[in-house]
Amino acid sequence: MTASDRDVVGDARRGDRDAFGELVQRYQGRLFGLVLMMVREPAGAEDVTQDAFVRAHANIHRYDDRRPFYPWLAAIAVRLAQNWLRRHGRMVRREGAALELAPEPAGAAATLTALIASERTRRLWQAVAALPSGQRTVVMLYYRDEMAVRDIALALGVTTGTIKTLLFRARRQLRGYLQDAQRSGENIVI
Amino acid sequence: MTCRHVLGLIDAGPFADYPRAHLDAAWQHARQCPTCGPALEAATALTAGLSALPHPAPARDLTAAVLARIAQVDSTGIPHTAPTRPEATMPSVTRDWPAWATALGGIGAGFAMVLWTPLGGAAPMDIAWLRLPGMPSDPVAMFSTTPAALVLASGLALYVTGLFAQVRRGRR
Repeated sequence: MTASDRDVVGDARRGDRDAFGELVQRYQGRLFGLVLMMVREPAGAEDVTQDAFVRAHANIHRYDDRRPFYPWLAAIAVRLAQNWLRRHGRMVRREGAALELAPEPAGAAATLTALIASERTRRLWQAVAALPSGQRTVVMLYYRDEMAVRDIALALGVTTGTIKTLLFRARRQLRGYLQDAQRSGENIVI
Repeated sequence: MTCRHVLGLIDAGPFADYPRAHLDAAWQHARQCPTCGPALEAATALTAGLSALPHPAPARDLTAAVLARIAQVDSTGIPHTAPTRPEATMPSVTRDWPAWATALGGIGAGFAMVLWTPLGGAAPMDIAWLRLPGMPSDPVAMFSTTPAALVLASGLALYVTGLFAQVRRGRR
C-alpha cells in the first residue's frame, strides 16, 4: 500500500529526502505534462519541472497539508513556466490577456505530439496545443488535473471569472477545430 | 428545457458545474432533438477526452536530478527550509508603536482642539450636542486652559515622534 501524500510530505518536512523523492516520482509525469503544454519545448519543460520541485522542497513548510498537494505544486510550476516564457520572450503583455502568448515557433507542437503514442489522443492533444497559452493551461489544470476553478485562479493570479472565460473560449475553439477537421475528412475521435 | 437552453448549456462550459437535475433535463430533451442530441454528445465526449489527456513522461526520470540539486542547495548552506518566523510576518503592537503614537497623537490633538481653540483663545466650539445626562450644562467649563494645552502639546509631540519614526523606518 502506498503512503498518502500527507504522510510523505510530513516525512519530507522532517528532512527525509527519500520521501521527497517519492513525491517527485509520483508527480513528475503529471507536472511535466502541464509544463510541457505551457512552454511547448521538452528541454525547457524538464528544466521548469525540476525547478518547481526544488522550489517546492525549499518551501514545503508553507504547504498547508489540509489541502491536496498537487494543486500547490502545480501553482509553483505555473509561475515558473510563466517566468520561463517571459525570459524567452514569448509572453505578450496585453491588457486583460496577461496569459496569452505570441505564436509559438513552428514545429513546437509537433515535438510535443511525438511524445504521445496514441493517434487518437494525439489529435486531441494537438487541438489543445493549438490553443493560446492561457486557454491550454486552464484546460490542462481543469480537465486533466481536476483542479477547481478557484484553485486555478489562485495558481494563476487571476479571478475565477477569467478562468471561466478562458475555459469557455477554449471549449468553443476546440469544438470549432474538431468540426473543421471532421469536415476536411480527418479521422477525429471525439 | 428547450434547444436554446441545451445549446446555451453546451456553450456555457464545463458540465461539472451544473446540478445533476439540470443535466438530466438537458439529456432528456437532447434524446428527442435531432439538433441538440449530437451537439450534447459531442460536448460530453470533448469533456471526457480532455479529462483523459495523457501525462507524457519526461525523457528521463527527474528524481535523481531533483534530489541532486536539493543536495547541492543544502550543501551551499542556503537556509531554504527555515520556517517563516511569525514575528517577521505578523504585525505586533510593540513593533508598530510609531503607528499607534501617530494615531493617538492625532486623536489627542483633535480632542484638545475641539475643547479649546488656542489661537482665537476665547470661543470654544459648540459641543452641546455631546452632552450626556448628568453632565454639567457647560462641559467645556470642566477643563481649564492648562490641561487642554498639555493634551494638545503631548498629542502633537507624539504625532511628530511617530511621523519621524515612520520616515526613519521607511529609509531602512
